Amino acid sequence: MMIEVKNLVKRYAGLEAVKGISFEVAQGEIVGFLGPNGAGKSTTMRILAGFLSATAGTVRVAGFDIFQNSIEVRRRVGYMPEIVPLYTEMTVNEFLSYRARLKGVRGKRVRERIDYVKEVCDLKEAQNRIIGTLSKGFRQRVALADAIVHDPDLLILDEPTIGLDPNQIRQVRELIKSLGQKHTVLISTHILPEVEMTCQRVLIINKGRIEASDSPYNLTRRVRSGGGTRLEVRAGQEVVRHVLSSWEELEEVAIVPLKDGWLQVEAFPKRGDDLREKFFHCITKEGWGLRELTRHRATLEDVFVELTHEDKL
Amino acid sequence: MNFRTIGIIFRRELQAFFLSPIAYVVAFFWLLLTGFSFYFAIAILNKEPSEYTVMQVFFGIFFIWLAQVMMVPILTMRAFSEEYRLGTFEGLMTAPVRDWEVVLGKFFAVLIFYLILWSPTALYPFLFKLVTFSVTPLTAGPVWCSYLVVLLMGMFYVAIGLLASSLTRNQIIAAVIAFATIALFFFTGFLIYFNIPFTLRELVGYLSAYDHMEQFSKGLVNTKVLVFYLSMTVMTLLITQKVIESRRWKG
Repeated sequence: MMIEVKNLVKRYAGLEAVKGISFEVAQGEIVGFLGPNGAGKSTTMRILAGFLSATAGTVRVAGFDIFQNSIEVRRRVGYMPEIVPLYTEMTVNEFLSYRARLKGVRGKRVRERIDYVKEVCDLKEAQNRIIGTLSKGFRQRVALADAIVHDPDLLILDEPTIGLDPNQIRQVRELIKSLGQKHTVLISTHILPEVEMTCQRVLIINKGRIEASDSPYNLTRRVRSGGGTRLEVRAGQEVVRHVLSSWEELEEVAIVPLKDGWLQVEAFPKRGDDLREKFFHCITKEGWGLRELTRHRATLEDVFVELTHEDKL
Repeated sequence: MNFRTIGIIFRRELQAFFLSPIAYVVAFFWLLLTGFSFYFAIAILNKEPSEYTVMQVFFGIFFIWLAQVMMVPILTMRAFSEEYRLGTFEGLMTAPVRDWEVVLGKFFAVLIFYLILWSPTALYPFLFKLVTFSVTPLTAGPVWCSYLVVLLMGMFYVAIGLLASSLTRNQIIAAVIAFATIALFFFTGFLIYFNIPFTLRELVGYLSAYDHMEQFSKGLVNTKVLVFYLSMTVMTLLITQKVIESRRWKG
C-alpha cells in the first residue's frame, strides 16, 4: 500500500475539518480526490504531504509512519499545493535546481532530473525566465515540475489544473496519465470529466467524511439518475401510467405530456438496471408510437451532486 | 541535522538578498552612514589631542548603533513572513528538511549579509593608517575585538528578527516587533549610565551593547558578554524553531 490512512482526525481551533477518515491507495493507482470546497480535501493532502500534523489517527505513506518518519515520507512524496509555492524572483532553472537539491538529488543527477522535468512539463522555452514574469499556465507547470523533480513514489496534486486553459488542461491530463505509469497519484480537482478520464478510482469526501470510494464507472451506476431511461411515446397518459405501475424494477416514473400530443417519460429503476429492452418489448406489444428511447448515462457530476449536495431536491 | 540541507537553504536565502531591491537600499544608506560616522570620528580626533583610539571613537558614535538597530529588522522581516504570505512555506516544509535546518539556513544567510554590510567599515582603520603614515597607534587587537561585538550583537539581533518574522505573515508587523524588541534590549542597556541600584545595574550590564562595545573596542574581551550573546542567540533560535513547529498544528 502506498497510502494507508486510518481514522484520521484534524481539528483546528473550533473546527473539525477531517472527522475520522480511513482509506488506502495501492501502488501505481491514480486516485481522484473529490469534494466541495471546505470538505477537508486540502487538509488531508497537507497531512499526507507532511505539512500539517493530525489530531488523531495514523497515516502511513510508502510504509513509513508520517508522524514518526516525516522526513522519509517527504523524500518519497511530490506535493503540489493549491497555491503554487514559487519563489518569484528566481528563474525557472534556478528554482528547479534549488528544489531538486533541497529534496536530496545530488551531483550530475540534478542536471538530468531538471532536463527531464523541463521536457515533460514543456518548460524548455521558459527555462531562463524569471518566474514572476510567467503566465499562470507556466507557473502551474513549474510547480508540477517541482513536484516530480526528485522522482517521488507518490504524487499529491491539489487542484493542479486550476486556472489553466482547455489546451493546457489537456496537456496536464496527459502528463498525469503518463506519470501514473510510474508513480502513484492522488489528485484533487473540480473538473470532473478530468477525473473520469484519468483516474482509476475516486474518493469523495464531504464535511470531513469519506462518502464514496469506487471506480468512476461503478459510482455512476450507483446514483439514481444513472440508468434512468427517457422515452417519448404516443399513447394515453393513463394507459402508460397503468402499464408502468405494474413494473417492480421502477422506483419512480415521471410522465409529462408534450404540446404535440406525445408523452415524455422519465423512468428511474431501483438499481442501475438497463430497462431499454424491456421498454422496447412493452411498446411493441402495446402498439404505442415511439420516437425516442435513451438511457441517461450518469456522469461523475451527478454522483458528486447527489453525494454532497445538502438539500437534495 | 544535515549540513548539506542547511547549506542549500543558506545559499538560496543569501541569493534572495541580492535579488531584492531592499537589500541594496539598506546597503546604500548603511554605507553612507558608516562612512559619515568615520569621517566624523576623525574630525573629532583632529580637534585636539585625545586619549581615545580611532576604534573607540568610531564605535562610540551613536549614529551607527541607531542604524544597526533599524537595519537588522529590515533584513530579517521577510525571512518567514514572506514565505507564509506567498505560500512558499508549504513547499519548503514539505521538502525533506528539518525545522532546525530551515531556521539555521535562514539565520546564517541573514548573518552573513549583515557581516557583508559591515565589512567595508573594516577597511576604514587600514585606510586611516595608510593616510596617516602609520603614526597613529592602531593595533589589531581592538579592531578584532570591536568586530567580535559586531558579530555577537548581529547574531542576537538577527535571531530576534527571525523569531519576529516567524510569528506573522505581515512583514511590516515582523519588522516592528523585531525593531521594538531589539530597541528595548539596546536602550535598556543605557540605564547603567544612570544612578540605579547595584543589582539592577548588574542585570542591565548584560544587556548594554553600548557598554560592551566600549569595553571591547579597548581590546578587552569579557567572557560574560560572550556567553550572554551566544546563549541568548541559541535560546531565541530555539523559540523560533518551536514557533515553526507549532505551525504544523495550527494549519
